[in-house]
Amino acid sequence: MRIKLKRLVSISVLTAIALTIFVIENQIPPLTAIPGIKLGLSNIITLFALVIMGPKDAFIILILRVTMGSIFSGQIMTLLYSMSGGILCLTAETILLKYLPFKNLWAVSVIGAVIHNTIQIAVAALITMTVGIFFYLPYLIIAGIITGAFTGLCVQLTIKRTGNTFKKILL
Amino acid sequence: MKNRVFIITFAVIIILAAAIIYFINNFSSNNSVIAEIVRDGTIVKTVNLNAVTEPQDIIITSEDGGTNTVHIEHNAISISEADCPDKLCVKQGRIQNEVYPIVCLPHKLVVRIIKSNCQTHSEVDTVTGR
Repeated sequence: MRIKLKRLVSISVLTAIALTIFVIENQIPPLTAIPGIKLGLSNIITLFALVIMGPKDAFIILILRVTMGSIFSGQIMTLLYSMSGGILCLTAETILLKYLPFKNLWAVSVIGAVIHNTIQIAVAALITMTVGIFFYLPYLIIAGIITGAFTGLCVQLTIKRTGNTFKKILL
Repeated sequence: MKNRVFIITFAVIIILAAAIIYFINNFSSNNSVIAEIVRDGTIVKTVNLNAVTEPQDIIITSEDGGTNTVHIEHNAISISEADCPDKLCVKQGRIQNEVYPIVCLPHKLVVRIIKSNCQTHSEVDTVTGR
């Protein structure tokens, strides 16, 4: 029972942090006129949870954050894009983490971000029934590589500097 | 795997994508003058931009009550006003060819230019590139 409660609290705390980052990031005006490009800082928490707590908890945190995030930001339509992109991105990252060592974590994050953006474009094309949206794909791939490397490095450096501290606190 | 392998791979992808963007932006098509306003997958309005002489505004209301004001000019179309939170469609500005459609995701609205079926292809001196 004690372990279960601890897990519940850890998931709640990480979800709260991710949501806070998400809401604050939403206040930053969009940098470019291309839809879908943003820093995606709350993915730091998702990736962090994946490494420290495992895929199951990471998925719970991701789904909670995306659902509540789209309610808080007042745009229910973003739920579809973020959810489909986020889930496939996390699935890919889970598989990649099994085969790649910890020092390649940033690369895992880059591949995840690119997959996330590609899926989002595909969903947007399906919803709006416009194939022309795929012309944005090269922009979103470049953006995904840059933002993915940033979030991945954040997680990699945090875990490297803190060692086992977070594992002891959260697990 | 070595980090260097990843850095080189990602750099190559970035360069490739940048090359594709450059190619798309320089791919001009001056024949296209028919604009389509598409809401939720259905065509709401089709405008022949070549025939527009006076600039005019069309207000499109989406299912959830949001509005976009589409500004039509001679051979160009843009969204001049929107009540969505991010206003990315307004920031995108005018479009003049079919390469990039204007997309407003919150209102499921797409403004795009489609190739016209006029016989401008045979008129050699109409298109000289940009």
